[in-house]
Amino acid sequence: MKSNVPKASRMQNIRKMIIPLFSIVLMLFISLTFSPIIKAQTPRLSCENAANKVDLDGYEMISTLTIIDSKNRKRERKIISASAKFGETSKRLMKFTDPPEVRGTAMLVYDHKNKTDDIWIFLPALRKVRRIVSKEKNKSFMGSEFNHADMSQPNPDDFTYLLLGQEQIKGKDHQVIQVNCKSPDIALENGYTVKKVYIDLQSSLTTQVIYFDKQNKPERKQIFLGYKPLKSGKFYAELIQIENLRNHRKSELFIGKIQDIKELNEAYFIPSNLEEL
Amino acid sequence: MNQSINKWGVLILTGIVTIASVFFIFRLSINSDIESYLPDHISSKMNNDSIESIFGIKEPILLVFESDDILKSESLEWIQNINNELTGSDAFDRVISIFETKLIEGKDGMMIVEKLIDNIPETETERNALRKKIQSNENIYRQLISENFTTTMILLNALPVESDKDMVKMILQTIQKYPATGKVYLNGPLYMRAEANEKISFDFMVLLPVGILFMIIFLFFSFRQKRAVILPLSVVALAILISLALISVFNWQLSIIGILIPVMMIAIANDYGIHYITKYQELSNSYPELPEKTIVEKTTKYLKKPVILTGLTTMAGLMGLMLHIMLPAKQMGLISTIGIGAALLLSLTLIPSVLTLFNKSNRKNIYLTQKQNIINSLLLFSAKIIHSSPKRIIYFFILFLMISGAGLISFGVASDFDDILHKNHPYSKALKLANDELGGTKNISVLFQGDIRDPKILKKLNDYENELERMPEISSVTSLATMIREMSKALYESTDSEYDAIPEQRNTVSQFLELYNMSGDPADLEYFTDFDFKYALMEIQFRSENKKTISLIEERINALTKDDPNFSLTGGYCLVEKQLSDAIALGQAYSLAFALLLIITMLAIIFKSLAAGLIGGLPLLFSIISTFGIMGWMGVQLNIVTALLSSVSIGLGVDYTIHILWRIKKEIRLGKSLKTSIQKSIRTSGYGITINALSVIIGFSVLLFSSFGIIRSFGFLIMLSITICLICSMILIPAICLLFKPKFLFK
Repeated sequence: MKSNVPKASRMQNIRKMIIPLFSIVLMLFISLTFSPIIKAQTPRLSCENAANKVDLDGYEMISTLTIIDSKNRKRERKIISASAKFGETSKRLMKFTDPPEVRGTAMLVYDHKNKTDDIWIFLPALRKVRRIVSKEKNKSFMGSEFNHADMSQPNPDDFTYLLLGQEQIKGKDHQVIQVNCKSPDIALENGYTVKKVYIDLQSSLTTQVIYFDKQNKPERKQIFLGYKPLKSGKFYAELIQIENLRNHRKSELFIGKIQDIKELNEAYFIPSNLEEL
Repeated sequence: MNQSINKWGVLILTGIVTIASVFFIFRLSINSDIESYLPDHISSKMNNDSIESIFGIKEPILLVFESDDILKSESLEWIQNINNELTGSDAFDRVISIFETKLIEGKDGMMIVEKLIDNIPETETERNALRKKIQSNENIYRQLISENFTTTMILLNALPVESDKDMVKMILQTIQKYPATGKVYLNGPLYMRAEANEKISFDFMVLLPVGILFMIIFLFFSFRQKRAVILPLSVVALAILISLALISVFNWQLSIIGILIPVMMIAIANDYGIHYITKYQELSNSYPELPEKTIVEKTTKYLKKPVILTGLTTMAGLMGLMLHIMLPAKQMGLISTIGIGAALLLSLTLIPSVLTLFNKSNRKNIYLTQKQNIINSLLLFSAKIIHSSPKRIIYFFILFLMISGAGLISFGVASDFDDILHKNHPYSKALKLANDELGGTKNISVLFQGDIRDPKILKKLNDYENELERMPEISSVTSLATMIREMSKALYESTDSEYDAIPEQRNTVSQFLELYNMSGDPADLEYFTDFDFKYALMEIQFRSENKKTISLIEERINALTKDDPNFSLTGGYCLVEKQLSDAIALGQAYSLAFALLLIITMLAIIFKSLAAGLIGGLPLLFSIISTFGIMGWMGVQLNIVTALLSSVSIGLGVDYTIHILWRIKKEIRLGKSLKTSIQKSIRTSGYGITINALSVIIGFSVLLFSSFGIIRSFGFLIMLSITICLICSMILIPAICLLFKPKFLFK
């Protein structure tokens, strides 16, 4: 049985088929060869996306920080704060409004990406601003179980990312990503060696983080509850809970009011302003 | 027929008790926590519990590092590696070391919070700068690092997350992980417990078989007959089984003192068996024609009364321990009384029952055959000198008593448990270095209650600190007031009146504390005040090797806080040790008085004469005074173990007096003169008594192999005490009898 299609035309058809076929094979080859890289980038991207969703350029906030000890005794602090980014530096201003004995106590932090933070404090009793020079970033935030590192966005290049799989939390599918500090110095600065981040697949927001110590034992567990959208399209968690799994002390940061402001005046974040707040 | 039923009844009952005992022994556990040896209701323990309920459990572990120069890069790297690893562990909630120390200082309008050692100095200039920085800080220099920079320490506060053994293992593994440039020693109650626990097990594994081996050798050379070795040993083994099982039955635990129980059984429980075998062999040889059953009956009849009497007096001595405040001493008193009672019962029931199962003995015992041995020669000599110059003997004993008794001036009660482990043990070395080179290991906590942020209270704390720091014994006093004052130094200029002072306003204090939370570590505050600022703790660190210093500091605290409504209580491990030390002295006095009184009464009843009681009590009193005096001369203190000495030695030592008085009285009743009776008694009963005492001494000699220094001391002292009791009953008692001719001997 002979074909009715001329030989030249058949060759042309084959040529036409070869190009897409080659393209498919090439794509397959590329995807198979480079799939680990793609995979490796995925958890990092997930983490970065989740961080970006809550990374505000600037905000003003009224919050309540509750410190709860292992015997369930509570200590409350009402804080007004403002934060904004100016180049490579994040500037944060915090002031206690309650309880009365610490009302007016204020703190200004310049969170530099590549150098030690600058901190100023104002104590009403002293009536003057003092600069605090401290190299430790992993220390407690206002005596709570949060640390100063928790309050700022870390540099994503300081970590390696590993996708551990998927888990359900409260019926929702979560991506579980292990984030490892690249060096002991980075671990020291951040106050953990490894953390496990749980990202809601639907909202792409972080709902839970477990921090591990040097011995790979869970040390702190942070839970983000009640995410709410802001005008800018970003989100904030209304309640952030953290529990120290060693001493069972807990802290809660309840955000009563928040306003994302893109362009806060840098002059607002100067030490002399602490007295006038 | 009846006797046959009894015999099998005894054997079956013994078998049942043995099986039951073995079952309970498997449930036996060890308790090396010395603090738990005291009853819960004693004030120092209750105070510590109160402090722990507010501030959490304090379980300090001390790592003392020794190197030719701590500031050398290699030394610092070595210590830093260990420090960092331990700091990162969840087993500790606080680490104090030169690497964790933060300095807060005010400079050019800034409050600088920095680590003492941020970077390890590489050059000599950097090293000298650090040296100067340390020398200028009184909280670090001579506290955390020694004057000559050869010693430093890491102080860990362990959380109750792991067992003592695992915790120590983890620390040691961490230490071994890094190449050492010097030596490191551990100290602290947790380490002591872990070490003691291991050593209690080790002692059991070693002392028990060694003791039994000693006894086998002794019995074999004494009797040269298998049954004479096996039977008393069976009684010993059963007494040990029953005693140890009873600890478990009563739901108690084996303590450091508990090591003595099986050894005491080895030393004492075979006495009655030895007496039985001696008499049995003697009768077998004297009446070869009599059937075995009759020999056994005759032996039992002859020995029943004196053996029961000596058994009862030993039990009475041991019962004295039941009046001791220390729980293991009480427990040992009851357990060993029952154990000895069981041995007594078994010697008079099991041994005769088993002997009737054997063929008749034709073996002569060594006591009867070796007439010309050293013991006999000594006995002959003593009989001779008693006969010739009883007065001189009494004078000699009085002289000896005066010389040895003079040691009582330096006789003391141990103020702590620090000498439980031997001097070369890392625990003791760490202790010595911490006391000689650093701030010491003793700590007293003073608890205050009230609104702690009130400047009035803080000023009071500050005043107390200043007053206490004047005492040369105290190396440091720290409280919330210290921290507030340090902060004021960083926040105010040195020319300001507020500089280095407690603020005048409560709000200022609150803001200082808030600032500390912001810039320092809030955990630091929690060591000195509670979450609600209702309590404050003042920590007094000092060096002390005796109770006097502790009492002095305690008295000063009491005087300072006498009218202070905010003063709540004082606590600290050293106060528990002190109270235990007082309890030891008191317990010693109680148990001594009780045992002595009971034994004198028993002797008075046995011999139907108060004079007999008093004369019989003399060797015991002599032995106690001499032993305690010798302890004073040797610098051996009364501690948790040596405090048991007198009760044990009284219980044992009285046996020899009973035997000798019994025999003298018996010889007189046979119509012999006092002199002849004494001579005969020394030469006959004296031999048995000496052998008996020797078996006790050999039994206790295994304690010299103990891992615990205090047990070894006890071993030596009990051997000494028994020897004195033996000499007294063999020489002093006969001399007194010869000189004073007490009436009860002639009744």
